[in-house]
Amino acid sequence: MNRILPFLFALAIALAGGIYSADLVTKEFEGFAALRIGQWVAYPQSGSDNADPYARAYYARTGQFVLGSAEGVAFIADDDATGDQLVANCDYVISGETPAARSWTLRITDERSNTIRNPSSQLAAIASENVLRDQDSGFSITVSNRTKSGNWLNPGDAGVRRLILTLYDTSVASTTGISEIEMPSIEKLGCHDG
Amino acid sequence: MVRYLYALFPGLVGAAIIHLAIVFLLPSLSANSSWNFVRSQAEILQPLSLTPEAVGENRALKFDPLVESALCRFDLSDGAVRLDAVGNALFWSVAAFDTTGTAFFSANKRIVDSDDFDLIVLTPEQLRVARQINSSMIEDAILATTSDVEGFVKLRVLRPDASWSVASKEMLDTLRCEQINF
Repeated sequence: MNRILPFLFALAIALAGGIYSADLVTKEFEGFAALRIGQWVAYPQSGSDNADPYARAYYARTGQFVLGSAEGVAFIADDDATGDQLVANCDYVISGETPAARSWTLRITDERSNTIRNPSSQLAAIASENVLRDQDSGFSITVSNRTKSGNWLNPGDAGVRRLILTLYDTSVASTTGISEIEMPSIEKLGCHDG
Repeated sequence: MVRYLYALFPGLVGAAIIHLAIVFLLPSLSANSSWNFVRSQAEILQPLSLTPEAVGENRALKFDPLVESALCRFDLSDGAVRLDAVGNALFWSVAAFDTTGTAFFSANKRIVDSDDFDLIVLTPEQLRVARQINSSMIEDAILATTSDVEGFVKLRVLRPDASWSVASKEMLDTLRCEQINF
């Protein structure tokens, strides 16, 4: 009995530790090949053969259909420029430039990447084709749950939010100098209750 | 007491092994994986439009709401597969996936320089046969070769707003998948 108990102890550690750590990591960790630019992070290798085992395990669990390399790259932002988490009751302006792409879409989701559904036709998503440009061909998009003019997205009532900017037909992943890639900034304008 | 301390080390090594085993096995075993969804919801060579009704609300909310898509499951053990669609979409892209959910091929409207899309998925052996008999089909289409006989192809069409709904729906409705023999 004295010999068996330590063995069972080791076995228990192996099983519990292995299963618990694998479960925890593959639920949240999207792999090692993160491309971070400002507040935005993308995993351009997600669809390809180069994806690391953790990335593959993550996509197998979330069940999402990854983007092939010739399709596009999705960038996710959870924080604004000061590092505060994005929330629905604060107003933001997303402005600047995106990397070169045939088209892009910007959508507002909850922290689990589910697109926000607003009543009536107040979309929480916009495509580059419909973005009004400034004179220097940059753009600004306001995110607010109060009505705004110009490019405007409604984040809904309350809760944590996330922005997903998906570039379609882009070479951003193969750009050699990270300093050359420009992503729009996310500035907080102010917050209000509800 | 000391025995238990000695047991800690092999326990941790075992935990690392089990951890890695789970990570490597997840793509083939996960019930929620994209391949598992395709295998249970799509018939071979039957185009499936990925509407909220078809994929369920949970999956649909994760999609880009300004993109519409459809997929076609294939099995190359009986022959190569040809997929085509026609349309006037603003932008379309296509990717072919194996059973681990990895895209082994992708293309888009600009790369192919065509409004329409014509893709043949085949094994290297089938490609050899096609070349030997100088099949004209492989000259017109884009080719995606894979050694994995099972998989699926997904077509994405950009629909920036309601004015593009007709164009995107038309393209997805024309998606055809058929088996071909050279």
